[in-house]
Amino acid sequence: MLHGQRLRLGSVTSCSGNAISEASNKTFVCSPASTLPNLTAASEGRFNVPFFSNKAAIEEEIRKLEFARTTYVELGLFWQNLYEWTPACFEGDALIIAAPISGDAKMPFVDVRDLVHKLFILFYFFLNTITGRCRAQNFRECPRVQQRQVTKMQIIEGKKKKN
Amino acid sequence: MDAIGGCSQAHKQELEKEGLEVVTMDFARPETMTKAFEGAYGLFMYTTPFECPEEEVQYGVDAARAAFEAGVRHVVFR
Repeated sequence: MLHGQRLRLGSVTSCSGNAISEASNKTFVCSPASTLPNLTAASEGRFNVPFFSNKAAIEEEIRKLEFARTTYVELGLFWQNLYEWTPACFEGDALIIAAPISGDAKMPFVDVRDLVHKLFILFYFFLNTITGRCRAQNFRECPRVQQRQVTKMQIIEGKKKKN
Repeated sequence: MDAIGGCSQAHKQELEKEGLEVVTMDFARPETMTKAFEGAYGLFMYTTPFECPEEEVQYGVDAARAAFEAGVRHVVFR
């Protein structure tokens, strides 16, 4: 049923726990949990993110092998990673992040604290391409996300680089 | 053979005492992987760009191919 399909956890509301067990109980399953997009290709070469792009390159080759059944599981990101890996800061109760993610990208997020309680809370938001105007100067002063109550997210819109 | 995937000779002997079979496998030598995977039911495979950024893709592809050729029934790539 799931052969060759992408099982996107978090963004497919009908995807229940049963679907996951069904997928993982199949005899032939190749399921890269780290199914990640090729950001180098997505950004037309502007950004090289080996952690993503290498996985995408491997997945491409796995697709050529004729496994009887393959499932590609896309998990939501731990949104705490936004704080750890991208320039981010707080303004009041809003978390402000800057990330090189283009246009109308939709992203599923998982709160690591909810994961502990086996509950997924998903945050969707639209990101604009940001290259310069992030408030990185406040980055180091921000307390850890885990200690904060965040009620909303904001994206600072930056100027696109002119080639 | 001094080390098996970061596993010492002493550790190897310890594992063998438990009845486990320990085989050598080298990502840089795909033929060793096919041999190592023979008879295995499953493979859990994890690659990162942090240790070997240049070789990650080749290693991952070779390991997946070796698993396929060796008839591994269930591969999880994380």
